[in-house]
Amino acid sequence: MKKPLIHIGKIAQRTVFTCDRITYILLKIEIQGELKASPGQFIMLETGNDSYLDRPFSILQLRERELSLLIEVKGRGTRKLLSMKKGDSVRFKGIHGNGLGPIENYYGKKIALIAGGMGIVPIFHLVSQFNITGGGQIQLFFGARSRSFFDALDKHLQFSEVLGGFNKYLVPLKETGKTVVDVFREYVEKNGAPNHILSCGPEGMLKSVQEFIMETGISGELILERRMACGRGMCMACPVMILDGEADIIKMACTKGPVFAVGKGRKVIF
Amino acid sequence: MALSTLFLGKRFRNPIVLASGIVGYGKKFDEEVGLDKVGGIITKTVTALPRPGNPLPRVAEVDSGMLNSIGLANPGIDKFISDQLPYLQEHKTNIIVSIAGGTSEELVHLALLLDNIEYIDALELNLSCPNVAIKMQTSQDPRETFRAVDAVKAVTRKQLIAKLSPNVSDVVEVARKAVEAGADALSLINTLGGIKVDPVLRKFVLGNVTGGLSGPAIRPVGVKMVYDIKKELDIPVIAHGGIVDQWSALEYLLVGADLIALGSGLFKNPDLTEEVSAGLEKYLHENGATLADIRGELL
Repeated sequence: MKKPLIHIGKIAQRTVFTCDRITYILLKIEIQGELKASPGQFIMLETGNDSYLDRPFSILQLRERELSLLIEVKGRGTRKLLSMKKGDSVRFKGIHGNGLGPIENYYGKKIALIAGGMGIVPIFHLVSQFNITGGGQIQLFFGARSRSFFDALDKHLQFSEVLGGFNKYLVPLKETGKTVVDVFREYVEKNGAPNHILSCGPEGMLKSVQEFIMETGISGELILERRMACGRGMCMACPVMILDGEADIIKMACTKGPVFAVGKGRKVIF
Repeated sequence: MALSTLFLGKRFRNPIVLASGIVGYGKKFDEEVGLDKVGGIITKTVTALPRPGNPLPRVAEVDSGMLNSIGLANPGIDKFISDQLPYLQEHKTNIIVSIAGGTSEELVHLALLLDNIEYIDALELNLSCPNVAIKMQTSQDPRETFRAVDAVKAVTRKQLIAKLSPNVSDVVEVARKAVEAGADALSLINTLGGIKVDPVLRKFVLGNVTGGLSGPAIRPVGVKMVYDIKKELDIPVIAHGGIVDQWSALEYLLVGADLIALGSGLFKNPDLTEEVSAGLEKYLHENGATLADIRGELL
């Protein structure tokens, strides 16, 4: 692979909203040329001319000439993004990382998608690609701090519309007192376990999901988040420790992930 | 051609080398840019045993730079020699292998294992990683520096480069001890110790609490230290610290740097190598000067 291409885009739409005292930015970037990405893949976005490092962001959607990102404002780089306006030019590198396999792999299987908070981003990318008629066997479990996050995604991303054909379980922690994994386990007690789980979210949630995968012997894919400096396998800032049988293996999330297969004796060490 | 440089008796196609810990063992950089575009590569520091590295997060951006606390993550010398090093043999660039050890014995052990590998051009002794759990960096103490360089020099036939810490009160004193012990060249500066606090979460940002500061923020410190050493000592220097374009490279060359090392600037800018080499060539051409003319002009 040659050098990562530096892409230049223009902000076509920028929406800022707040839920549970956390600020989010929805960016739609008009891109030149054609890019392809599979769910789980990410870009490295320049957050300003004076930024020394780019920031990794998972792709929310990529279609026609429009790249969408959903960003939680957390620190120095994401705060700078707040000052960007419609029409501003942005630079990014990528597409980086190993995403999920071809969408057809998931058709006809009994699959649970389990997302927590911002973990919805690559899951949304995935479900928006599904041919809905092929998705009857798919259950989406989505947890968030409170209902306001779902409402915001509905308003800004037409969330319900995109997910119209899926069986979905929305789990607002504040209103229900339950975690998304609690609700998933209740579902399994009544309906049996899925064959495969795809999950993205906070580490605590991923850990519980992985425990379920190990208990039941099914397969799964976890999409992990890491801070990184280069995004392309050089800086060694984003290791993921994997236990495969007896052996510990360290893999960098940027090039070997962020999607990691688990199950059948293989797990991520959190 | 204008950039060709002689360093420790070896021909470098340009004075640009890749700093240790930036491109791992070079494969990815070779695919992206080409190892034949740089004068040399200093490989990521290797230790006797594998090291998983420090807790996460390991990087954070700060004003004009970044903090890192990778923690000398590496597969250990055996795997390095069997799995990583052979790739570099096929490429026509100078190979400098960076080694670190908790004791002089460990350094000697590493140097002996590498001594018979002909295509290694030099060893860099990393006496200054700020991210490992020892109470001080070797190069913070002139006597410890002497001891480490002396011990390795006694057993290796390779050219020996000592990499020094800027976290000292008198870098010239440490440099002098390294030279007295037989160092053939010096590498500086390593990162400056630093901490970043997240005031919203009221937590330290790095998993290891402290890290090493790199980037343009540390360039004036690096330029001063190279200047101070070149004024006092007759020793080749590989300058590190905040090189993000030809102008920052020129700052170091004008105070006497023999080679300049690209570091964390490569993370954001994959074109940095070509930009610096083209920029230097253009500068020399426009000024009707050679590299030798400008090197150390301000000393």
